[in-house]
Amino acid sequence: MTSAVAMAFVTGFLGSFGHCAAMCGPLVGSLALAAAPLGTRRSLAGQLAYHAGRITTYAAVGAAMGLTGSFVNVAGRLAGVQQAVAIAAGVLMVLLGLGAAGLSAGLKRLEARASGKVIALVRGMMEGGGPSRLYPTGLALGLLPCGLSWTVFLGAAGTGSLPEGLLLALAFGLGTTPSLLLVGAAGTAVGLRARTVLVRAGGALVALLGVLFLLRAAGVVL
Amino acid sequence: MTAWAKLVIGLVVATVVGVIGATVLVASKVREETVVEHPYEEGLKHTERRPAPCDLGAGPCTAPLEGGGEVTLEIGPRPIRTMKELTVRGSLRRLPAGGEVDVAFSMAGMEMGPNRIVLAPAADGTFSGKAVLVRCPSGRRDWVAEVSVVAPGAGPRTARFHLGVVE
Repeated sequence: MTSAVAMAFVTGFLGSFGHCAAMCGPLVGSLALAAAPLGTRRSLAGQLAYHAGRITTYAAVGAAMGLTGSFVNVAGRLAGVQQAVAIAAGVLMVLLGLGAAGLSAGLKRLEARASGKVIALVRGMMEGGGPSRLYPTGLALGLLPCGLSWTVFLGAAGTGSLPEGLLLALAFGLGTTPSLLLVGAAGTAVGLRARTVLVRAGGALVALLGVLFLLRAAGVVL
Repeated sequence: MTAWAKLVIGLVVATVVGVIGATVLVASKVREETVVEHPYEEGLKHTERRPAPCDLGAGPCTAPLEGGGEVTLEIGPRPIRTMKELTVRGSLRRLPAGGEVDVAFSMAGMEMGPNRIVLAPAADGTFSGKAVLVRCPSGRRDWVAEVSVVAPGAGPRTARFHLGVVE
């Protein structure tokens, strides 16, 4: 069992530098870019909270896979939820990107005039947030469809045991964290040091990537 | 612009021009005459003549094992779908009896994690096992199945198969 857990960690660690950094990097980068105005410490704390939420979900799914011993059944039940999460992630990225591009200030003015709660909510999402907001975000986005995590859940189901499935998924999630933290740290650094125009351009790029996330979630292959 | 900056820019331009000139000179010295009159058309004909690689998504495929022997692999039910339980069957030829057979599934250029199943020997000399292929959110549907056979007293022999899934 120890070797399987170590293997899951190594799979997460090595796989994440190519796979996760490319597939989820834009999402993590957008969270970091949006949270940069909060300062380095609070931004990094937010990222850690996001990853803690994501890993909690991995562990829960791994435990469910191990408990039932059936990947196909659990994955089948999660399929609809995962598509909704993928769409939500795309919308979040578009909002975070537009926020970094400077649109949240415009919404603030609109919000002051209209006092709209929805506008306040949208603006809040555009501006990212600290740990208390990013932990639940991580919990939800831990369900993002991902081939690499699915394969680990397949292994978790193969253990036929709740604690072993949980450990396997937990080790995998921990393994993926360093590379995504690096991406996040880069996003924070850009947000802190780059000139306004660069941050705005980065925000526009993130919003564009969010649209790509949305199209992919809708089944449009690009 | 200062004189130093002009000098540096001049040197960079001269170096680039020199490298391009040297490349043209060396290339003209080592150039070989074309041995095929119409290489592009010949290349197209060669591709047309080459048989398409067998697709496990369409039916069973047979391939030689590196190191000797031959393996036939079949995956069902077809069409092959991701996130569904699949049955994998293999049969070996020109190999000593016994040994272990496993199949590892991967995707070229996309890290999908380790997905390897061990096929159990059946009474009729074939090997079989259950597998699941996970869905790639990028929309890719091309998988590679690598069969590895460890016969008694010999090193591992491998064969690769392509398979396309419908979703």
